[in-house]
Amino acid sequence: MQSNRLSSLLSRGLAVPVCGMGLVQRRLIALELRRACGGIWFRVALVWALILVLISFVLDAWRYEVIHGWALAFGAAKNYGITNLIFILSWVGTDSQPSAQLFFLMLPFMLLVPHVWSLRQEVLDGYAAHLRTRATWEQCYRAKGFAVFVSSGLVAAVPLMLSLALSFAAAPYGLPDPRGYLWLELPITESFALHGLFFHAPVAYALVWTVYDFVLAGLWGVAVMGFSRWAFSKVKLCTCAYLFQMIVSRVVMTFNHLLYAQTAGDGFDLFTLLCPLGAASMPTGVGMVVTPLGLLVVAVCFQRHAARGVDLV
Amino acid sequence: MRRLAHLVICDLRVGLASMGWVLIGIFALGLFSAAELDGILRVLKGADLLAAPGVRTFGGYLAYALAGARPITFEVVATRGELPSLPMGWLLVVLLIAYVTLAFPRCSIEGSGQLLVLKAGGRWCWWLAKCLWVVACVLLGWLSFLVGLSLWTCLARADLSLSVSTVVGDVAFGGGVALDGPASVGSLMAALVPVSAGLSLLQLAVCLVLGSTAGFATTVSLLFASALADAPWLAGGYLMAVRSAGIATGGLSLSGALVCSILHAALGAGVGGMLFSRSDLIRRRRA
Repeated sequence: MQSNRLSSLLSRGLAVPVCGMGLVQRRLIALELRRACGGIWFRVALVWALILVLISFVLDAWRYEVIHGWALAFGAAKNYGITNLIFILSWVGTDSQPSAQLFFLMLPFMLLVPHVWSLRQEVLDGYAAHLRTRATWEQCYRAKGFAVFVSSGLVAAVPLMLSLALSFAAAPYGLPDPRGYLWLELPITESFALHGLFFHAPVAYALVWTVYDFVLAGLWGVAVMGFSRWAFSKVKLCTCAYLFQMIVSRVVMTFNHLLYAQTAGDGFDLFTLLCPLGAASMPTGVGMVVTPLGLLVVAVCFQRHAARGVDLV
Repeated sequence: MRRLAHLVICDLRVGLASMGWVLIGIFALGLFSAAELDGILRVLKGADLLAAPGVRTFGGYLAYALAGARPITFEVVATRGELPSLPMGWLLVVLLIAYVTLAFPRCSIEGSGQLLVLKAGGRWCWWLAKCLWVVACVLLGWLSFLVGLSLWTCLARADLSLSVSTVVGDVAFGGGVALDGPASVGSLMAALVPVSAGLSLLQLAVCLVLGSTAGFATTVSLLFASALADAPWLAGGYLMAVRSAGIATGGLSLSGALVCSILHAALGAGVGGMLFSRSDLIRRRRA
C-alpha cells in the first residue's frame, strides 16, 4: 500500500515539469511512471542496491573505528590517515569497499531490470496496440521513454543519495587535505574527474556525481529499450546489454594497452563512467562526454524502430 | 534412459541452434585475446622478441586470456581501502560461457514446453536432460574459445605447447608475479570444463527456482567474490591462470578444482532438482 502511495506521489511530482503538455500526455506519463516505479522489479533493484550500500556503510564505520583505535594507540608516531578519513571517504562512490565495487559492477545490469523490457512486452501482448486507440504513438513513446529514464536513473541515484546521508554517521564532516594522496590516504588524485570539487566542496562533488549517474543511467535505460525490438526475452535483452558493456570495457582496455602501454585510461564503458573512482586517468574526460552523447543519439533514434515494431503488430 | 537420450538430443538441436552466435563470439574472443597479446608484446618488448622460439606459445595465450587477479585479504580492503582492479577480460570469457546456458532452460519450461515435462515421464528426467545440456554447452563454449586461441597460434606460427614463457608471464600477470620455474597451463585447462560446468549447474538451479535474472546476478556475484577472495569453495579462482598450481607456487590444485566442481554440480543438480520437482508449474504458467 505504502509503495503504491509512494509511486503515485512520485508520478505526480515528476509529472509537474511536463505541465505544458496536453492532458493525455500528462496522464500517460503519470501512468507509465506509476507502473515503472511501483513494479516489483524496481523494488528488487532498489533493495539490492540499498543492501550493498548498507553493507558498505557498516564496513566504513568499522574501518573508522579500527583506524581511530590505531591513531589513539600510536598517534604520536603516525596518525594512520585519520585526519583525512572524513565523511566523503565513507560515501559509496569513493569508499573502495568490496560491496561498493560489486554495486558499480552490477549497476549497468540492475538499471535495466525495472522497466526497459516493458515496451517490447506491450507490443507483444497487444497492450501497445490498444493504447494506440487512445493516444498517438509519439505520446506513448515519450511517456515510456520518460518512465524508463526516471526508473533507471533512480536505481542509480537513490542508493548514492542514501549513502551520502549515511556517510555523515560513519565519519566526521571535514574537507580533505590535498596533500593526503601523497601518503595514499586519499583515493582521489589530480588525474580524477572533478577532483577540484572533491577537495573544495565534497558534498557538491557527491551531488554532481549523483546527478551525472542519474542522467547516464537513464540514458542507458532508454538506449537499451530502443534495442528491445530485436530481443526475444527480458533476460536476453538485459544480459546482452550488460555483456556489450563488458566488451566495450575489454576493447578500451586493449587500446589503452597498445596505444598508451597502460592498464587504465579513458574509459567509455559504464563500469568506469558510473563510478567516481573508475574515472581515474581521465583528465580530459572524453568518455564522460562521448558516452552520454552516444547513448542520447541511440535513445532519440529508438522511436522509429519501436514504432515500426508496433505497426507490424 | 531412451527418453532421456531423446530429450538431450532435442535440447541440443533446439538450444544450441539459438546459441550459435554466442559460440562464434566466444571463438572470436579467443582469437582477439591471442592477437592482443602479440600486439602488446610487440609494443612493450619489441618485434625481435616475437620471433624468438618458445616465447609465444598456446599456453601463453591461454594464460594471458584467463590471467585473472591475485586475491586480496579482507582486512586490507576494508581498512586501507585498497582494491585490485577487476580482471574484466577473464570475467567476460567466463560470463559469456555462463550466458550460453542461461536462457534456454527457463524458456523451455514456459508455454507449450511444459508438455515436454509430461512427455518426459517425470520431472527428474527433464531436469537431468537440462543438466546434461548445460554440461554440453559449457564444453562447446570452452572448445570454441580454445579453438580460437589455437587458430591464432597456428596463424602467428607460435608453439602449440602448454608452457608459459617468462616474458608472457610478465605481461599477463603484471610485475608483481614472477614465474619461478617452468610454468604450464595443463592443470588450468583440465579445470576449465568441470569448474565452469559446476558454476553453470548452480546458475541453472537458481534460474529455474528464482528466475533467470537472479541466476545471472548470482553468477556475476560469485565471480566477483572469486576475483577478490581466495576461498576454496569460490569456483572462479580455479579458472584464473595467476592462481593455478601449474603457474604460481602454492596455487590452487587440479584436485581442489575437481572437488569444488563436484560440490557445485551436486548442489546445482541435486538441490535444484529437488526444488524443481516440488515446484508448482501450473501457477508459474498463470503468472
